[in-house]
Formats: sequence, C-alpha cells, structure tokens
Amino acid sequence: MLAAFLLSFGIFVGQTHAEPKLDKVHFLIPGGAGGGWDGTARGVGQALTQSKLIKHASYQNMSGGGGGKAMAYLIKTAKRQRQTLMVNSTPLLIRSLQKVFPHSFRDFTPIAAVIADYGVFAVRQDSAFKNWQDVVTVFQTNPRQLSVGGGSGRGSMDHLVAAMAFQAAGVNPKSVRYIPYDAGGKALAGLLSGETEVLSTGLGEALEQHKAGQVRILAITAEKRSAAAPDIPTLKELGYDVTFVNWRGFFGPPGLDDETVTMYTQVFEKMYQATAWEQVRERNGWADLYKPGAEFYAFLEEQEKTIGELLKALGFLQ
Amino acid sequence: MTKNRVGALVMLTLSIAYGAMALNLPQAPGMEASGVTPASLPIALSVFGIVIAVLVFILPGRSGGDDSVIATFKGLRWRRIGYLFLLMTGYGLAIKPFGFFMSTTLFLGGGFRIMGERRLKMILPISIAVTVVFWFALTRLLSVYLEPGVLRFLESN
Amino acid sequence: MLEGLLTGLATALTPINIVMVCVGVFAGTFIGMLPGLGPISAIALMIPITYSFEPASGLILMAGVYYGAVFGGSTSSILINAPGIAGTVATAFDGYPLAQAGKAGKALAIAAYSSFAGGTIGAVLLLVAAPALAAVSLSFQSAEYFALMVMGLTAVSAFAGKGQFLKGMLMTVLGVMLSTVGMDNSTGIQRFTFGQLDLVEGLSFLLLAMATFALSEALMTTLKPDETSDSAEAPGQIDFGSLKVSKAELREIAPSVGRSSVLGFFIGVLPGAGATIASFLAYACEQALAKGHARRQFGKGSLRGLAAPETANNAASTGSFVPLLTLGIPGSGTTAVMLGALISYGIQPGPRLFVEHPEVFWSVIVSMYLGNVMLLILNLPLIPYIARLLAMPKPFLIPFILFFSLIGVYLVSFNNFDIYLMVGFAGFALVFRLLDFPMAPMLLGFVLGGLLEENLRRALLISDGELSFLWTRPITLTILIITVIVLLLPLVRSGRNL
Repeated sequence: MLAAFLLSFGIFVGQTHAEPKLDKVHFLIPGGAGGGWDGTARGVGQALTQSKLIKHASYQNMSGGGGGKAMAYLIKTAKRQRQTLMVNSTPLLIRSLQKVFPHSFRDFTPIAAVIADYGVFAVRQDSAFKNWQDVVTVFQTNPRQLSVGGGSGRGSMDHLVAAMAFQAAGVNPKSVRYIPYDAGGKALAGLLSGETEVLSTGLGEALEQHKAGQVRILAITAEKRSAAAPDIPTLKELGYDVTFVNWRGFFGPPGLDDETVTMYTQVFEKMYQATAWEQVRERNGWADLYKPGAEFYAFLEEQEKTIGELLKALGFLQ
Repeated sequence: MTKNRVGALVMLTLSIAYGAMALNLPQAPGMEASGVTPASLPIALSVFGIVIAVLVFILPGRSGGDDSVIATFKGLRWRRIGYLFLLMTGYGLAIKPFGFFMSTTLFLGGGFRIMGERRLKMILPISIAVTVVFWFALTRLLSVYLEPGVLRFLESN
Repeated sequence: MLEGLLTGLATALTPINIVMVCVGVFAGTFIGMLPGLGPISAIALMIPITYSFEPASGLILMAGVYYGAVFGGSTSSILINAPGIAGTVATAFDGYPLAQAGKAGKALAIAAYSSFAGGTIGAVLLLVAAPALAAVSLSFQSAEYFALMVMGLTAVSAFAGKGQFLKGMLMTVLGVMLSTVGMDNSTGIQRFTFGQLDLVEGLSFLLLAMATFALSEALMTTLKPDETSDSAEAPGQIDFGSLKVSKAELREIAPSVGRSSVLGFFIGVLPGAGATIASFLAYACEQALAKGHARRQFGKGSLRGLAAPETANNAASTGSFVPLLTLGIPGSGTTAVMLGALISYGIQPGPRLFVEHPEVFWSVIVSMYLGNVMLLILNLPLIPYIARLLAMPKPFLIPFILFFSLIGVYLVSFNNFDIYLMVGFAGFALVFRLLDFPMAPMLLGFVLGGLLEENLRRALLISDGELSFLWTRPITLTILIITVIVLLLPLVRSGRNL
C-alpha cells in the first residue's frame, strides 16, 4: 500500500517545472465550463498545442462575481502566474465601468485581442420592418412602440449596442425600450414568439436563423461586412457613424515584463498562420481580430470612453 | 416554547431584517416609470414571511408528539457535530493554501477520527487512498484543475 | 418520415454509435451521481474528444451523458438524499423515505423504469411531432412562464396533509428570498450581497441542495446517539431490499407515469422551462389527483410520488431537444452546451437541420430511444454494487458524504467561500429540521423564485406596468385558474389539517 503510494508520488514528481520560456500556458477562465470564455480559451489552447507553438495548455475555471473573482485572484497571485493568461471580453469592460467589481483592464497586462463578434439587429421574417431605416423611422416618431430584446441585462452589452445605434440616428438613447433576457437564446425565443419587435444580439447567435429565413438581420455593427454573412449591411454604410466590436482576448497578470509580453504576442501572430487555428475558427464561426500590446491598450481605452459616455447618457453612471 | 414557535420566531426576525434591507435598495436608473422595481418582490416576500410566521406562531400546532424544544435538542451529540463543523470550515480554509490533496487527506482522516475511528492503520491508508482516487479521476480523466497548494510537484496537469 | 426513421436507425445502430450510447449513458450516470460534476461540465469537457468522430456520434454521446446524468442524479437523491441536479430534487421527496424504509432497491428500480418510460414516450412524441412542436415552443411568452412558475409553487401543497402546510409555505417564502440574492439581471442592481463579490452571481442551487439535503442529513444521523454506530464493524444505514417491483405496483404507477410523461414532455418543449419545473409540476399534479390513503403517502414513500417526477424529468429532457433541433434555441444549460458543440461540428441546428442534415436529426432521435434502453440494461444490474458503497460503516460513510458534498460544490466554482456558505446553510438546516420544518419547499421556492420574478417583471415591462395580462391572455388565465383550484383542493378536502 505504502509502496504504491510512493510510486505514484514519484511519477508526479517526474513532471516538474523550471522550464525555459513559453513551454506551457495556463488559461484562467472567469466563467464556467461550456461558456463563451471557456470555449475561447480551450479553442485557442487547442490551436496552439496542435500547431506545436506551445507544448502544453492547462485550463482553470473560476467563476463568480461576474468575472471579478478570477480577476481578483490573478492580481493576488500575480507573482506566480507568469505563465497564465486570463480570457477577457467586452462584457468585462462594461462591468468594470458599472463597478460590479473594483478591477479594470488597467490592473492587468493586456496581451492581445484575438477574435471578435459583432452586434446585429434582427426582426422576424414576417415583420413590417424591411430594413434598418424602417426601424429608425418608427423609433423617431414613437419610441415606445418599439421593444428591443437582448440577452443581457439593462446597461449591459446588448442594451448598449442598441442604444448606441439609435443614438447615432439622432435620438435619445434613454428612450429605447429594452427588454432583458437571461441569455441570447431566450432573447431569440422572445423575438420569435412575438414578445419583442427587434433583437439586439451577437452575430453568432442569430446567423443561423437568418440563413434559415426565420429572422431578418437588418444591420451589423462592424466596420466592414462580415465574410460569414455578406448580405448584411453595416450601420456605417447605412449612414450611421457607429461601430461596435465585442472583442475576446487575453490579459496577463500585472507587472508582466515586456519580454514575456512580446513572446506571447509573437506566438499569437504565428497562430493566425496555423491550419489548426483555421479549423478552430471555422468551427466556431469566429472573426479574426488581432490587436497586440499597445494597440490593444489604446483600443481598450477608446472602447471604455465610448461605453462610459453611453452609460452616463443612459443614467447608469453619474 | 414549542418547536413551531422557535422556528416561527427565527423566521419572523429574518423576514423583518430582509424587508428592512429591501427598503434600502437603490432605485434602478431608467426604471422610474414602471411600478415594479427590484425591491418589489423582496418587500412582498418580507410581508408574506412576517404574516405566515406570525400565523405559525399563534396557531396551535399538530398535537401529539414531543413539542418541547428543550427535549428535542437535549441529549444529542453536539460536541461531535461541533467538531465536524470546525473540520468543514477548516477544509474551506485549507483547500487553497494547502492544496486539494493535503486538505482532503487531512479532512477525511480528521473526519474518521471525530466519528470514533481510532485505528491509525485504518484512518491513514483509507483517507489517502480516497484522495488519490479522486485526485486521479479529476485531474487526469476529467482534466479538472486542482490546486496543488503545498505539494508543488503536483502542479503539472 | 419512415425513410427518416430508417436513416436514423441505420446511423444509430452502427457499432461506433452503439458504443457511444453505452459510454455516454454509463459516464453520464456516474457523473450525475457526483453532484457538482453536472452534465454541463461533463459534456463541455467531452466535446474535444468528439471532434475526431462524426457529428452524429458526438451528439449521440452527449445525449447519452445527458440522460445518464439525470438518472445518476436520481440515484444519489434516493440513496443519500443528495439531489445531483435540480431535476432530481423532487425524486428525493419520496425516494429517500423509501430507501430509509429498507426499500432502496425497489425505489431505484421504479426510478429506472419511470425514467425509461418518460424518455421513451418523449422520444416517440418527438419523433411524431417534432417539426409541429416548434410552434408550441414559441407559444409561451413571459406572462405564460410566470403563470407556469406560480403553478409550480403549488407543489408546496404536497405538505398540506401533514400539518406542515403553513410551515411549508414559510420555507417556500424563504427559498424565494434566497433566490433574490445577487445582482438583479434586469437592472444591474445588487441585492443582499453585502458587498461580497462571491454573492454577485447569487446562490447556486447545487450549494443549497447539497447543504440542506446531503450535509444536513449526514449530520442529523451523526447527531442521534446510537450505540452500535460507534463500532466500525456496524453495517451502514442502507438496507437494500430486492430490486423487484410487483405487477400490482407497476399497475399502480402506470397512470401516473402516463400523465407525467406527457406533462413533462410538453414542459420540456418550452424553451423557458425544463426538467426541474416539470418534475415539481408532475409531483404536485399526481398528489392532487391521488385520493385518500394514496394521497397521504406522498412524502412518506409513495410509489407514485417517486414515479411522477422521475418520468417527468426524463420526458422533459427529451422535450428540450425540440427547440434545440428545430429552432436552434437551447432550452436549458445542457442543451446550450450541445448547441455550442453542434456549431463547432459545423452543424447549425435550426429549421435547416431537418433539410440539410436529416441523418443527424433522426439518428439523435433513434439514439434517444436506444439510450433509454441502455440505461435500463446497464444501470439496473449495476446499482446494487454502487449502493454497496453506501453500506460502509458509518464512521467512514459520514466523512465521505461530507467530503463528497463539499467537493461537489467546490468543483463548480473553485471558491472556498462556497464551502463556508454550505457549512452555514447546513447548520441552519440542521436546526430547523430538528424544529420540524421541512427543507424541500425552500429548495422549491429557490428554484422557481428566480424564474418567477424574471418573467413577471418582463411581462410587466412589456405591458407597460399593466397587470391585465393575468386575465387577458388565455393560456396564462387557464394556468392560473388551475393553480388556484389545486391550492384550494387540499384545504377543502381536509379543512382541519393546516
């Protein structure tokens, strides 16, 4: 009994540490298994290991506090997390602003944004709205008539994207009648059952139904038309000066040295060329969006400013 | 005091406290128009709680059976339960710094000892064996990450 | 349709897929028995493994895990009063008393048969009416869901006949109170979180269930002084009994099974409702329909009380595939993960699934049936061995159950705050159980409270604050009327036993 015990310990000891450079990456996921962050981390990890860019990837789920727990944890244990990357995305930035937790991207070392999702607006196929113009017209005359459903709460992403779009059309974002649902799927069900008129959600959530003809996506918040759905006009080309991108990327612990950061960004750059990444991306329907280091930081500041102003306009922030 | 009454009293206090906290909830921005606020349901619940607790208190309970609180709580193994509670809290404290492996072994061993088992040659192997099985199944088979804590060499997955 | 069926059979009966069904069901059962390692995590972790197989195989594996988990959850509900997943809480109401009375074997057998029946009938309904059911999926709006949740709360009347009605209601209220802790989704306001980051996402069902059922149960057993329990040689509490179920007993539960499977299936079809509420509603429904002695048995070891929720939760699990496969809308956490998996296979569930990948659709349906058969064949003989584990001496069993419960919850959140919370709730549950207050209604209130409030507020938001939807919408009105009748029925029948 004791011998077997010692033997198993011996095996564990065999796999030790003290290895050079980027041998392994430990992904910290601020949500549960099966969620968006989880899928992103595991997908990226898989691409990296399959293309032999890193030797080993490990994953740690830590949900709670809307993502705040994982953030607090990374800050607290920063010294021994040199090889840890935390998945992040726009909702976390929004929650920082809403003060759901006391941390923000400034408390970390932003490494890079890797993929992006864009907001879309959809209506039922039998809806009277044939294009985004129609929606805006109705909204301009009588905002109370239009209900916009979304898969997150008031003041969260889906609401903000809708508010942003209407604001660009010259109306008061506060008058958007936003109906919150727990998740994108439920919001979609709400649209289809006739409970709401318009759906504000991510492209990935509604694309299939759009292709099937069940819903009609009227606009997308990207800069250029999406390759996955080239028939959807962007808000910009319709004449509204607004874009929004829900980025997903990685942060490192605070105080990470520049050398390590560069190492990570180089790995990500190489990842984009790899076929393994191509497969992962195809599978999940992600759009590439690469913003490393300083560019990422500047982008975050910009998004924070835009969203901050919007939150103030909506009355969520003083 | 009957059992019902003690329970009702506790619930009454809870409901009142809950209601008080509910009244202090901030107003939601942009929701001024609608009548239902985040505080609506809590306040309604608090009222229900108070009313039903009072009813349970004043109405006579089912007769027959031992209703006295003292009698129910007396003569039970409170010390053992106390130790078990301390053990569980200790587990919560230890699991991150000491790591899963260490904490679980200690927890199980401690638990066996509290429950009356004294033979070290039963306690030690069984607690370690159970821990090893779980550790293995979780980290290897299901690739769940478990804190290695003090035992650093268990780090790699 | 016949052609589709044959395609489905052909795909489902290939050796690899049969293996998938077996592995899935087997693994699922184990995972379901381990609380915390719920089907959601299990399926999510299995997804990468399935990439090397055909999409149909992957889906079959996941569906097998899903069913297996529901059944495994029942096993731990019955044997140690620790519901593995929310859908099996109602199973413990009558399952655990049966096990305590030395009839664990019979209880597990009935659970197995009921699950099989529910799943099979559900699969048949799915087969026959899947595309048409898409319309049903969309017929419910927030107002209807609200009414449904209210009806679900009537399950508390199950405690009416035992002189516990008011106490049951009080605990239900407590449960709903607990469900309000956390950030309010609709407005972003934090409620009752005391500034604790750990409470922002609210209390988890699993945590409450494990603390108030499993932990408190284990502690209660320890509390009572019992001379024989100190010796390590003394056998554990579970006297297994045989697995045999008599024909008469089967006849008794048959109508309940029939009703519960249809009820469960249709509730599963609704995206906003799932196995949990289906099980509670089925329980309440059967309790309301039972008369006299049979009725009084509910909560004490009624066979119907066990069969009803077991049938309903499997039927609902099957039903939840309808919105997933026909509309691409996930009806529950588990189906949401499966949706993600399907997308990563390159298959988009939705109206086009039927047209573009009929073999996926049909093979999933056929494998559901196979999965149910496998469940019965594989698990039934295995149960005695699994349950032998629980025959271990108390000094070892109790710490093991404590560990099991704590780690189960820890594995979901990796948060030690949860352990402290569990200890706190276990203490509360212990005291209140000694005071003779039932814990089950609290869990019921907790589960339904969140959905109830969310739907009510959304309905009010849409109607601009008008309550008229309660009586102007036909489905809502019907459901509410039934609710009132069900609530008043016990009071009318036995006026004295409040």
